[in-house]
Amino acid sequence: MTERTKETNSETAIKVITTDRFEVIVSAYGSDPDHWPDEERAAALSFAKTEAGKALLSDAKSLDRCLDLVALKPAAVDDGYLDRVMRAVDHLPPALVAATQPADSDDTSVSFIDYLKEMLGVSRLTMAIRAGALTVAGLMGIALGASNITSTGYATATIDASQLAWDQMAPIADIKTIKE
Amino acid sequence: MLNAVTHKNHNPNDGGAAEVDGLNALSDASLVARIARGQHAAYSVLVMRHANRYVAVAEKVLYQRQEAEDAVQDAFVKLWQKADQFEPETAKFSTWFYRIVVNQCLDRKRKKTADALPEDYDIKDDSNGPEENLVEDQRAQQMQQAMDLLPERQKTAIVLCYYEGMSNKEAADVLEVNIKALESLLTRGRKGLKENLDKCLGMTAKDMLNT
Repeated sequence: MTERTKETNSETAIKVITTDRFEVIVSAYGSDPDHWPDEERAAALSFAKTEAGKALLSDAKSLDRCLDLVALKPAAVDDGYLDRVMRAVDHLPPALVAATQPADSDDTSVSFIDYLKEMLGVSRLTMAIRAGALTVAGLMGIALGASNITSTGYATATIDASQLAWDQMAPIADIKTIKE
Repeated sequence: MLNAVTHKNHNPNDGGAAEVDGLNALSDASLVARIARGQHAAYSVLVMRHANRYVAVAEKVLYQRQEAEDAVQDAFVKLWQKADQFEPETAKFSTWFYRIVVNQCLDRKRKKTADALPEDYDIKDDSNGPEENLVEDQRAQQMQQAMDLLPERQKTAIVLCYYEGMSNKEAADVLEVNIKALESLLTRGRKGLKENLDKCLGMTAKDMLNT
């Protein structure tokens, strides 16, 4: 038998545990073997058949039965609560934004279109703000363009309002640059 | 019964029932990936899937239902905000989210003062009622009171291992301790329970079962 085989057999053999270790297991995890550590269960079950083991288990069983008096039951929360939890994040930004999404995500079913759909679904208020900002930006562009025609006699730049997005308010400075 | 998407007042733009059917079939980890990108429907599915279970656990730790619901709501908000930090390769969703819930519960407990304990904390077993279910209920209440007197981390360790049936490795991960420390919490917790039963209720565990 090779050294490696001996080691393997030794690892698969049931460990023998001491009284002290069995006491720790029972005092920590209780009398139910299902709660014992996987790697020590077999050895602990073997020890449990001894007189010392039975005595230790008896004590732990009483407390386990008391714990069972308050067994965990499903909380059965109501719809109002679920609704409250769902709404709690309505106005919070997501943990990731589109710009930081990994391009090679495993989750291929979540497309950029899905993301846009989510963004558009943020709220009607957000949509209204964005539409309003776009309109204002467009009107400002038109006004500045008209002002150029008045003062110089010819248009220095053509600003298409549709090119101004809600988040592109900065181009007001660009308009001045173009004029120069 | 509330439906994650067909519920008419919540995020009508999230998608249709067909989308939810698809989401319901996804694993927790896949849902969290979608939540990180801001998909409300995925968040709703996860809430509906797990709220009952985690409120039950929080209630065991906090003893009060309203507090438990609030703690779990805060935990779900944390999930929304930190979904990008979940690493399915290194942790199970349940372990990761248990940690969030448990931390919310422990934070709440820390903020509370001793006078916030229920008024009927020190009641003795003065039950003379003939009804078996009443006696049973009272025993359960007394046991819950004895549990609630435990230090929070000891109680949480018992809830995770005994009631939730977590392995020692999983529970240690949730509590962010090693297995030896977990065993110490459990041992001290169970010992403390016996002492609380004796000190506050004037009975041993065996007495309690024989009353």
